[in-house]
Amino acid sequence: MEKVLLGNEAIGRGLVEAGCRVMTAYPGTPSSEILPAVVQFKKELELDDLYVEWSTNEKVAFEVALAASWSGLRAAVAMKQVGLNVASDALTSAAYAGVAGGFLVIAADDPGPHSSQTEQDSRMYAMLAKVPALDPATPREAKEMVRAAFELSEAFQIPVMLRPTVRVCHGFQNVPLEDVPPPTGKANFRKERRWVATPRGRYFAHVELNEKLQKIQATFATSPLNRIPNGHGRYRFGIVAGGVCYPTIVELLAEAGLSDEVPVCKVGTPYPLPVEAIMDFVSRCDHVLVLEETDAVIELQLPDRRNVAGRLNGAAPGAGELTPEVIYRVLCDQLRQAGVADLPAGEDEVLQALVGELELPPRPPRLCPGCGHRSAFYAIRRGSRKAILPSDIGCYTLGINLRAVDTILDMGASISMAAGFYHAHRVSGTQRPIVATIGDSTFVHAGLPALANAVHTGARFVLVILDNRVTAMTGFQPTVDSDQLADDGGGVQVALEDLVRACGVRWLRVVDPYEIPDMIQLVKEAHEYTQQPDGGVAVIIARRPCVLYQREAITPQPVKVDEACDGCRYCLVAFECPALVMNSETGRVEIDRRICVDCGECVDACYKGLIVPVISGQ
Amino acid sequence: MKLVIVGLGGQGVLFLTRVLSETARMLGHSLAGAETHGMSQRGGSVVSHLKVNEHGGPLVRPGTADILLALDPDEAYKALGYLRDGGVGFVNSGRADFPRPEIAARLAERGIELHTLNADAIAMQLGSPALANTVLLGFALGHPAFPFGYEAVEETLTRVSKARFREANLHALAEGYAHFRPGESAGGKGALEHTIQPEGTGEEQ
Repeated sequence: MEKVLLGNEAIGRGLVEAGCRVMTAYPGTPSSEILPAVVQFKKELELDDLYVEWSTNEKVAFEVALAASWSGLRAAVAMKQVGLNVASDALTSAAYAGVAGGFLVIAADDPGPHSSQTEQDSRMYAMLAKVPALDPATPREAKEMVRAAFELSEAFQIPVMLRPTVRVCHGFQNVPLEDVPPPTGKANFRKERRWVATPRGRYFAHVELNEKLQKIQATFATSPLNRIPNGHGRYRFGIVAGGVCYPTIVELLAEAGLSDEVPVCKVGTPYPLPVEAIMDFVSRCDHVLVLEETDAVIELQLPDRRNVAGRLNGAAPGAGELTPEVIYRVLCDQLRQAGVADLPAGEDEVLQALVGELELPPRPPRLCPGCGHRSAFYAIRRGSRKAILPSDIGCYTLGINLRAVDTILDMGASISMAAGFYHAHRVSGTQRPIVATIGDSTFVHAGLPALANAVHTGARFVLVILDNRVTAMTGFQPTVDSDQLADDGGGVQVALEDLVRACGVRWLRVVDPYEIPDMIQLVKEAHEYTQQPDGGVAVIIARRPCVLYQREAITPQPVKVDEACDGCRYCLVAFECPALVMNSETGRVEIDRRICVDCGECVDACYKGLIVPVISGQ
Repeated sequence: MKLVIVGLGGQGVLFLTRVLSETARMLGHSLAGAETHGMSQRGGSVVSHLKVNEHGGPLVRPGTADILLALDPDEAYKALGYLRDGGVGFVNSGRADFPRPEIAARLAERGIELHTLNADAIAMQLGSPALANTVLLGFALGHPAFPFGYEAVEETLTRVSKARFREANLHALAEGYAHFRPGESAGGKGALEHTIQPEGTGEEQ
């Protein structure tokens, strides 16, 4: 049987087919659909013996899954590439300890980046931690690699990384489905010295890890996950390609009629690279082009790069996604320089120039019409002028469009940096109001240690927790504040209020951000609290369900723009709702009825009172 | 056959991609492609790639697409470069000046056809702006170059629509089709249903 699956769904299917028994994840693009796919197959196939969990962060997810592996079960953890930063402490130590049941670390990379704060290459983490990495080229291969990874993990007692990139994760393809075997084996944790990290033991573990890697490298030389052209043929030009670059270059060469002339070496196991076998191929080519995402991991492991071009020598760009058009340009340049072929230009430059002249407006993502974050940001701007506004990772990053976001670093940084801004200004004798914003899921992910730290060190700032009840950006995964678990209800609700108070916060208010005047007032009061002699961190929970998740939470309040509107643009800039648009012919603001959700919030956004509620019957 | 579908987050690019990929699968074709997920889904530019019976990676290279479906005129401009000589584009636009004459001239030089329809206005008449994507799809189905015929897409749409949207979606599809072929009853087969055979050679992807 075949089905059209996203790469992430194919990975989920692969986990189920390979008998994975515990699967954990923290959502993050491009990895978010892997766990829901496992849940879907679990329900379809009634796999009651499979445990799935959305964890509070990637480190927690990693450790929960690793314990299952140490208990003898097959287990996997999925995250996006920057999530691996959070889980890296666990990864590097787990490499030394090894595993019992097969253990798979799925780290999804985002060359581009499309939806991330960095373009980092998770294969670099595989090198750092000394664990093998598999780099699938297609959704179908991603599913096959899941099984191969579990087998490798068990054969060598080592965590194995599966590193799909965004075009595999969100690529789709017909994928053959295989039967799912009934679960076998019971968890049985055996006490072993290697599970306890002590410096002395870890020296020997490191020696052993190096030996494992050597053996794995030898098996990779003949692994079907790689396709290394063998024989004695010599070539003027050859290509080494990993991940999605492989099918792309194969296609481009076929279109150019060069498939026979230019051999391609496919690398599915970038670390540890089977260096000897690949160098044999490289040495039989006059010129070699290495194509891989996102950094130069294959390239760096080649001991002799005199005839090699790639990211390191600038032949391929050092940043960004290797799309077909980018690869085509690189290929054209390299083939021309090597005197092999002169390919035609790939793009219609005349058309490009004509479209360029239109100066089309860029379409950055924006908060949705009716989003409670917009009202909260609007209130924060009204209630705290001149404040430093550290924010965090999530939909509300888009508060930058309302000029309500000054810094974004990484998960949880809004709170620690708010404390840092406070201490830096205080110690140098200056004062600035500070209002930090963080989402509910991000607060639990990495904000808790930062908040306890801020309270303990006497920092003074306002923290607004933007609580929309779900992890919205990545597809509405439940948070600890709900009773929903990954595959069912029955979760124990952990209230944000309790978490905030447990961090030592003594000033806490909850508000519906749709009540903009109330929230403006609260922001002012919160700031006053931070100024009192016994003041500290003041926390406001702005609670309003995500409009995409719970549209029914809106009580419809249609509005209209009065004809007296003079087109001053204040509402467009300060409220920045996509449903408020300027009609260039009338010079007045209009409501775009196609996308307006009748939240009525923009009534507060015209200080002239010209956005007015429509009274029913009117 | 290579298709590119573009629009803004929230316009239903992913839904069209699902309908077309599912239709291709149902007809027994091999397919590959890629979707946009993540931050762009909040109103940013969204691009889907769909390759039927092609070998290679998931993305369509500019200059090689047979079909472009664009749910927004500005996004259409940005994506015109995907079309090959002789390709066909279908654009949701209510603008009198779309496409600009100089761009229309360039497209004509390359034998590229562009068909526009104010699918937003039709969708509003049908009672929901969210139907514009299905209206545009129905419109495109009227063109002989479109890979799939009306019946095949109708069948998929019936299957993949949520129950409460099914009837409205089917109505929107028919309405879009009627705008391309006024007075004709919906039917017929698409280009991929009788002219292009699946290739079975080359590198398996």
